[in-house]
Amino acid sequence: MKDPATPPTSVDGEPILFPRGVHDIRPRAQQFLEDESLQSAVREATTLKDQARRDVLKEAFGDDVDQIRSIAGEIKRHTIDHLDHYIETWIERAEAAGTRVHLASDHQEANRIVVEIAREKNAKLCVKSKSMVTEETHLLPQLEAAGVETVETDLGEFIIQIDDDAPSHIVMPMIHKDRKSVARAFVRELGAEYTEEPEQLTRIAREHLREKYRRADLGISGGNFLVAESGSLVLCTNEGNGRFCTSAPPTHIAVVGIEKLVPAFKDLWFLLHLLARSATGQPLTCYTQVLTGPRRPDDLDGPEEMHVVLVDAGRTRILADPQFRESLGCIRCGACLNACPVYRKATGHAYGSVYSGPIGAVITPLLQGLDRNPTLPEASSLCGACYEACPVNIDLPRMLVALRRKTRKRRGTTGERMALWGMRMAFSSDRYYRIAATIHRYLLRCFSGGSDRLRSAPGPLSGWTRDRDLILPASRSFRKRWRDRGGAVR
Amino acid sequence: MRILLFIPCLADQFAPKAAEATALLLEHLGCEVIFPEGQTCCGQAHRNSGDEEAARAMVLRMARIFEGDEWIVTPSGSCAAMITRHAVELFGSESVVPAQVQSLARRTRELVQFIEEELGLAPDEIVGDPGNAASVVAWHPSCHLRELNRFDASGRFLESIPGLEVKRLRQEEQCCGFGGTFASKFGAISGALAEDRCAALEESDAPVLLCNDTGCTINIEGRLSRRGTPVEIQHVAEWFCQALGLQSREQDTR
Repeated sequence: MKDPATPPTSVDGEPILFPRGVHDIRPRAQQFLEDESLQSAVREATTLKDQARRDVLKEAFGDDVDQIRSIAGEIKRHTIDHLDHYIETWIERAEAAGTRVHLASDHQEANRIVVEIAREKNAKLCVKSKSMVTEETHLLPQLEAAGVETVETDLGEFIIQIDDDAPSHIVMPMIHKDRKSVARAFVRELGAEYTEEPEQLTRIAREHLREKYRRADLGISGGNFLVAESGSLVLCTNEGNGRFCTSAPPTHIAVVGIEKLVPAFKDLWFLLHLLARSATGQPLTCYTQVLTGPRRPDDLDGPEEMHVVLVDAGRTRILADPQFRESLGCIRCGACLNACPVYRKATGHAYGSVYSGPIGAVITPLLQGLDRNPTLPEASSLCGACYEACPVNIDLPRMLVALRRKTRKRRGTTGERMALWGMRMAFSSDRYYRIAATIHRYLLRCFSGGSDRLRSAPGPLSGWTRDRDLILPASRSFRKRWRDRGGAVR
Repeated sequence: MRILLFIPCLADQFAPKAAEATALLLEHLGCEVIFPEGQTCCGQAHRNSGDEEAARAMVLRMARIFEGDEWIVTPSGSCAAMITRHAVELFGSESVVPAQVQSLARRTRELVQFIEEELGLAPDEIVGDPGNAASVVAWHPSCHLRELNRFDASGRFLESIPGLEVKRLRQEEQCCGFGGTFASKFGAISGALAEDRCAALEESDAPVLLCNDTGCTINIEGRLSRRGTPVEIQHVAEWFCQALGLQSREQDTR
């Protein structure tokens, strides 16, 4: 395996998920667009999952889908609005059940807490199930630096780890990889025989991982939900690795964002029904674990110690802004990524963040700063597919526009700002509008050399004519025609 | 019934024939069509680029120009969504939205939505057969029909036109990549999306594409022109007018 201290880099030479400085989605997207096998892998997986989501939701809820979504959305909104109350309740109940709760205000603190527990337990080998927050805090290099060998056990994340890559989708981390690259990595890193058969590849990984579970002295997981009424942690997984990680090693640490709370099990019902259907098109994930404290005397298995690290890392800052608060309701199902035309083309790594797609375009600037990610909210046609797909009704297009509002004054070229100002002037009276339209038409006609379309436009319009022609305005506008034929006006 | 015709700036400039067809069709259906000449733009471009203040000014201007109690009908799904949904949002909570903006939002309808929901007409009550219009068409539902709850409904409306075969495009729910300034700023991504739409269209073998948004139309037409695919794009209103013999099928001169 490569040195974990040097993160994998992308086509622009910057770390894939943690680019330094100001990140622009375009250069990476442009290169990824030319990678035909990447494009077809992402296109097939996203359209398949998007269709599966629609089908199973319709099958389960018929015409009530929208109502179920809005109930689920209300549950999350209510919880977020009263997050202080639910966190306190959860901590109280979790501690009563024997869970040790830690609070981390930022990434560094979260990592430090985990590493300290590992040191205290003298841990040498850690098995880890999938967790977006630990991707966000960049936990693995810290553990490795502390001398704890850490193995990702989710099959996709495992492949990503041994191939020195980074996840490009919230739910399908290796959506961008093909079987051949997996086969090669298994030969190179595990000494396996070359095979492209998914069953064989899974068997190789399984044998390799089984040994790790047996020896591991630390298990790390994320968390899909925290149920306030019982102080429980809920984990939704498909491969059984989550159960191993949380029950075989003597110590289990769950790293969870503070937004994962739900009030009670009756609320969880709605969210569980929507999470798996929206994420993978399954009625439920294969394993849904409810963990309430460490092993009790009469339990057959389970860890001796259970720790939960509650991570803020910018979340309370989002909570404080009413415009963006609802983004904390996200249950990380990935449905908005699958539905998003821009995600399908740019693909995950273009976003330069752990969170990609529409939800990433909203929360990455909020978590890391808009200054570092100015293009993310702009890279959207505002088609609304994400809002329609979201199981908890998060109005992502509205928030993308709200973020654009924040950057408006310092964004774009002078030409672009002048164009918008010019349009504003032109639209302020119908007389100005007619004059501006005439000038616009005349200029375009000059550029086109008399043709009715422009193959190569100057300035800000050059993006348009990169792959398509610019059809010129008609010589006679509607309002002129209407006048000419004596239509009624007022 | 008297209606006020709202022709968005893009349609006025780039698709005047579609705008004219909208008026002709409404007149044919018994409406008295009035075009308020002061109209310019609904403010969508400014709203989407984050210039709320400019967008509010344009919406207020629209509200003044379209004052009254008549229905306001527009051939564009995206401008209808701008007025019915976002215009109100621009002013914050319900209580502070000026009454005339609320009225504007309440009275605005996209053309097919108006025909089906307000005039209560089914397609076979309008035409018996395609007549001079194309008998096989493909349909591109514009994304903003989602915001009007018309994404599926308008397609179903077309499918129930007697004698018309409507081809549904592969990945019809995927945006064509227009998105206003997005198309220029993110040209590579936008162009790839336009190509998906055109490839699906070519695959469908339909000679005509129906679409109710000038934004999508100039985007798809631009890509078709670049790749040399001879498919004609029409507004649903143009199709009806050809079927009814109200408008010829000849292409517009630019």
